[in-house]
Amino acid sequence: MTLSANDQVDASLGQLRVDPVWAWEPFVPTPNDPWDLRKVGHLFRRAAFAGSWPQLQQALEEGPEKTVSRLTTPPPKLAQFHQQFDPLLREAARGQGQGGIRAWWLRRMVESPFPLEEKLTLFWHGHFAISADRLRDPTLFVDYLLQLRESCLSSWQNVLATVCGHPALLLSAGSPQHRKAQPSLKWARIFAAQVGLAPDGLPATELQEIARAWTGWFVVNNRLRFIASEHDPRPKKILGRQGDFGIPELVAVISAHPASQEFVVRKLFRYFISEEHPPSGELLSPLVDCLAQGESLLGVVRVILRSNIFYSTLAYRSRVKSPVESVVGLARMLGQIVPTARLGEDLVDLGQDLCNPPTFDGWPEGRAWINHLSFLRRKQVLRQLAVSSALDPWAVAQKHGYGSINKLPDFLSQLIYQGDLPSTTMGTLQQKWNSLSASRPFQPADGAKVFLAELVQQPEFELA
Amino acid sequence: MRDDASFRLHLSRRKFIRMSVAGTTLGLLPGACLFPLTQPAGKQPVEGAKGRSVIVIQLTGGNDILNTVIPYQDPAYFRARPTLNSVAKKARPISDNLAFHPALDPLRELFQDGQLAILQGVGYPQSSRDHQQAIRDWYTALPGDTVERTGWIGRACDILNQALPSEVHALFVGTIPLPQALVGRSAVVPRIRDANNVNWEPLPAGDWEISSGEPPDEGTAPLTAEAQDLLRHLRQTATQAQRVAKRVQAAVEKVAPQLDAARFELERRLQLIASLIDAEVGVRFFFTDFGGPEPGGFDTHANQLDNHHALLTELAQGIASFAHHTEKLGIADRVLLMTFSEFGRTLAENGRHGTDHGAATSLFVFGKAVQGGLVGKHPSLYQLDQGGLIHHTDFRAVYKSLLEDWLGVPAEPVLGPVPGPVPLFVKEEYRAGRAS
Amino acid sequence: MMARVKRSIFTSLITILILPAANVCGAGEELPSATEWIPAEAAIVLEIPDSSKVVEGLLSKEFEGRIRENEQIRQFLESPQFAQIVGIVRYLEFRLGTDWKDAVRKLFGGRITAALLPRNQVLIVVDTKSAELLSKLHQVLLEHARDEAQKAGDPDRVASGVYKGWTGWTFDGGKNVHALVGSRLLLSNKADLLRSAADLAETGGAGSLARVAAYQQAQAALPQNAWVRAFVNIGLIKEAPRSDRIERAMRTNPLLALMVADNLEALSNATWMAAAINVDGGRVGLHVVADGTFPGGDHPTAFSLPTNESGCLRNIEVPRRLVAVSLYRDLARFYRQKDVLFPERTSGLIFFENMMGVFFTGRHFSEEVLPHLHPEIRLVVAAQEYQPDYGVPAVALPAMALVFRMKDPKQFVPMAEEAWQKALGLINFTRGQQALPGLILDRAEYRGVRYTVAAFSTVGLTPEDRKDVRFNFRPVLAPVGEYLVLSSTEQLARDIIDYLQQEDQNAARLPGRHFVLETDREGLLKLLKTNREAIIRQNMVERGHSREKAEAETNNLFALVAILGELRVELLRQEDKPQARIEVALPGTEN
Repeated sequence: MTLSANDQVDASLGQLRVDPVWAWEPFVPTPNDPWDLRKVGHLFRRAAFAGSWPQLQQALEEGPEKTVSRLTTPPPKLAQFHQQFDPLLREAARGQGQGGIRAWWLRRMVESPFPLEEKLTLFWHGHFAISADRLRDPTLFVDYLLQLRESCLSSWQNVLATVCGHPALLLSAGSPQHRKAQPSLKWARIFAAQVGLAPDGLPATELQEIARAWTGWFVVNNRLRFIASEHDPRPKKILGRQGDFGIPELVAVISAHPASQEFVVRKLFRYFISEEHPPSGELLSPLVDCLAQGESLLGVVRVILRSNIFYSTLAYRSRVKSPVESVVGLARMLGQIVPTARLGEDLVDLGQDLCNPPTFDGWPEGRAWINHLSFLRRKQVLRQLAVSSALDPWAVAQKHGYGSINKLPDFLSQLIYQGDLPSTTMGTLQQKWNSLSASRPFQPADGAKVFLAELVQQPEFELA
Repeated sequence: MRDDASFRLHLSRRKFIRMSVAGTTLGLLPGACLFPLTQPAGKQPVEGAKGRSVIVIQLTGGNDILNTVIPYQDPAYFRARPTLNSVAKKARPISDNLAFHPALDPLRELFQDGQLAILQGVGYPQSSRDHQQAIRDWYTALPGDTVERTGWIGRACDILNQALPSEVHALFVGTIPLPQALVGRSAVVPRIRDANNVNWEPLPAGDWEISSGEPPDEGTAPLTAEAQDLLRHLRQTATQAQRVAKRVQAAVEKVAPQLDAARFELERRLQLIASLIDAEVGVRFFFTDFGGPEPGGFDTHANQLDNHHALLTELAQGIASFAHHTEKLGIADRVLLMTFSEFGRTLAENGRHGTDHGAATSLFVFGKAVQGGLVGKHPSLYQLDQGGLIHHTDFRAVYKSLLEDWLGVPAEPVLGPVPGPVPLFVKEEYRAGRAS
Repeated sequence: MMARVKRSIFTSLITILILPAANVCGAGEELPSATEWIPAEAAIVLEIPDSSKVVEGLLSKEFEGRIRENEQIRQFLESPQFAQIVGIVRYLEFRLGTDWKDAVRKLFGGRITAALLPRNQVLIVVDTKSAELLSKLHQVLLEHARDEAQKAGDPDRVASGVYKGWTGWTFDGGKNVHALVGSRLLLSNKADLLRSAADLAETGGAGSLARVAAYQQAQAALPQNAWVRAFVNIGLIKEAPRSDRIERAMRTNPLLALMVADNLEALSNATWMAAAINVDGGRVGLHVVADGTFPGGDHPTAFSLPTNESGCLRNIEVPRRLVAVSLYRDLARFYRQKDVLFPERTSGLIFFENMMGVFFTGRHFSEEVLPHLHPEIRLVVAAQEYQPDYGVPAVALPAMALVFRMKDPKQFVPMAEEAWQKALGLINFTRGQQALPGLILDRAEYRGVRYTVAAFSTVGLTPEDRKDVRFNFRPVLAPVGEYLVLSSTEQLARDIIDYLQQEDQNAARLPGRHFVLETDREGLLKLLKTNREAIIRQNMVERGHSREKAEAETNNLFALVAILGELRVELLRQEDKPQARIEVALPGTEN
């Protein structure tokens, strides 16, 4: 990898300075910086939760260009997948409530032929942090999720319009009253923060104007209603534009504003590249320009996934996986289906209730995911999964020609870590495997599970 | 646990960057917007408060404080409760005009010993009589705010988290959905569902379990200094997790026979919490509920006499056994236990031999460091607010005292400006010193 | 290194098993009862005294025909899994030189005894009718095991050793061991246990199960002609922590306490429990007895004790019935003991009391409401037929009804009616708060019974709206003579009215019984079929299965219900001792 901490990154001020032109140019493999299993694993972790062995092999063969295209293009069978899974999600909401939603959304993430779409749905859901608890009606929540999924790869304006046009947003905010006589400043602050307008940096009048733009919008009987008599029709001045703004106009003004666009790009940078290296505005500006020129979010993500910076050391293993990324990743690595009903509840304990991001900030991020007890619980959940009857690492190894006592350890560690485990760790694990496989009675299928459990309990597993 | 390493880390360049990032995020948040941080982010808790914890027991449903601490000499009480007043005959006097419900007998000794304070007349203006809204008010400490999603303990933990990010500051023991009181912006709050089944076994040992203090080699992965630091952080957390898990396991094994012998779930939970404190898991806030999910066991609209008796028996048994257990473990001066309930109940009995939703209530605070006795005047039984008692002390003032006097955590960023006088219930020699 | 490990396992096995030969039982010699070879610590023992009865029953054309009638079972017989089993059977027939039915008769037509000892030790003793065939079969299996071990690169896992003249074998490196003693086969998961059996054989059964007093009493209490007998040494089981968990669950779960408190109390002073299985035609009956005594009249749990004449009533029969339960429970007496039975005040219980306080206008629940009821309570669950003009819900829930017997209908009916209407009003109010449609109350008459019915409005509904789950409900409160019927649907209420009006009051009583449960195969299968899709989906996310696998498992569940679906469970008190009778009518049995 070309970039090392010492030459091209200047982080002394806590912000990243890299040549923006070089950063966003497509990565071209060279003999010194080849397209290897590491880069492939990295790409799949970020764009698809994780890759299975055949996926990694195919990508290795096809190179970055084709692989990124594959990962960012809706596959033909996607429509059929949605047709099959959307009703299941709705049914689950109706029959089992939130538990059913968690189970079937996870199942989608594990099985989807277009995992990037599920990842971005999760991204936006975490961002707008709609809480199903506050919606009460689980079917309304599923309705929101499905609409979010449909728009998650389109434009920023579209995403914002979808969210603002859905009753879930206001219900989740505790149904603030947007009366003409008393615009909700608290809501205006929350809203401003969610669209990237730092409320503390905004003039107080601007917040007042945003609050006035929301007047007249209520949720009645689970439907978003505009009650004209409660709307304050006087002109509003927001972000340098003026008019009788309602919600659609507000969405248009905000999503077209550079501050809000940079905010989205910065968030994507954290999600896809690094949580540990805060980027400068200069570095982000080419992507912000892309967005401003009408490029879709999918297009921007495609640029990111192709870029030099994405394949540099700067991005490599510099994010902490969320609990969902961690468990879904394990299932997708092995290409096997796991029991997601129990898993959905386990994730609640790990702090990532898929139906209820805790605050308007969404779930914790980065290092905040990990404290000593959450680490312990996460590893227990992963271990349980590894040794469960759902996963069969031995069968996977056999299928790809590594089904022998000698080949299994290296196969699994390549599949999961692509050689990133320290040699001392690998040595210890190999020794454990040796004594395990020498014990009697020994069932390779059970032994492989135990070995898999050893692999996933390593701290390195939590680095995306 | 809070060893030197984590403090060194705190002063490192990386840490500084992270803190400033966290600071910006805080600025975006509703709670914090109302009360911008007046202290520099990451102000250290006062040294003397180290190792201390608070145990909060939520009495779900609105505890009838007038049937808990009974104004057994007051004619107004007798008049208003024609059948429920029969309990007064058996009540145990603790002052000239107040007596404990007979089921609270196990607490009388603690009270006489000066370890139990009863904070009287606690509530808030225009208090809600709806279970959901009232309990949300106590959780958020922002009465009437339906929008806020964080809680007072969660916000306090956000502050603690800036200094000690890999520690666990709050823990919930119970089966109801995570109470909003514990929700913060920056941390995962673990929970224990079943006191008899603490699922924190250590992991089979890994290489990251560093005994010499030196991390293993970084491997061959091409990592930047930042990513290496992240990995180191993970490994340190893992090592720490392992140590904590082993201590917890030992503590849990030790307490297991007692848990088996305990009659009630609350008693089991409190004994477990005492054991976890003894195991030095580092948690500052333990929270547990008593009375189940909404509307809650304390919502005694009907047949209150024996139901409330049963509840108070369990509560008293739980607290008494906690007192005994912490004393035995030698941690009694590091714990402070507080009960709260979303509202008190009406003075008057209803037609179903029960009482309805009221207003002000009293809180129990127990601990060696507690200045025991009755704190504040007993609210009048002659001037009522729609049948309920009228408060003179705001519950946020109680929170403030708890945060600052006991834990040494600045209250201003958590609670904002707190109305009214702050009750003093932490003994002078234990007081952590007010930050403001 | 690997070889060393293997060798050490082998050596240890030899040391366990090999000792000087003595007391050899020759072939053809009459062997003592298997129970003389089982140690006295056996906690659970299963015996089939004469397996030929079972074997002949299972091999009979009649049974086969009956089984084949069932669709689910037919599906299994046509499945590839079954074909695989057939293949193995054919191979064995060839090797043993006999047809499989004959082999089964010879091998399993004698006596079979299985014992579970502390620490999960198991000993199974099979008395075959042919020492020769047994040894032949062993030879075949031994060859197979050796082959497999060779293939797995672990030939030493098949091993043998000798102890007191018995040859002990293992095919899996010591995990399981067995020995052949004449026509008798002993299997165990502990070599030690096999050795104990040999010791007992040598000493002539002193210190064996056969000499345990509780075992002997249990044998005397069971019918002599049972096909299968079971014996549980409760003294040993009680030390297991599991019974504790039931008690703890009971403390927070009043319903559980209502169902089991009495029986637990009786079992808590029992030293043994025994069971016998009998087969009569297509009916399999299980009869359970214990030596415990029901507590006396003033004991807190004594709320379910019928006298010799009293007892619960025959279950109600209605069309499309799925499950019916009849209970004898003195509710007032039960509820008065709540501080003892379920002392923890859960949110649910307090809510229940608050509501009962509202519904019954402040009357004391256990003193002024419950004493109006006799102890006879009946519950019926039945499938529904939906009326398109009301609604056909997407999720079909069965209808459910409770039938109480009142002491004084004139007094209690108005009280119940008022409570019922308040409850519906409260439901309506709560639903209204959530902007959900409510129920409209009405009075109707059927066969001279005036009743209150509540239905959801159907005005202005789209066909999609009519799929809502609420259309499973059309609740009814109907007083029928001395009975009070609470039903979730009008259809079931009417069916119950039909039944009650022609019930023979005298024949309806089942003296001594305090719990009778019946399930109906056809109804259950139909309900399962209606909800098949939901069951499959649940299986997919709960077990992490593909749709195909989930479907296969669901089919297995259906097959199980097809076999066991016609079930009757009776709990009774006979001479103050607890008894249970369970009967399964196999498919094809006439009712």
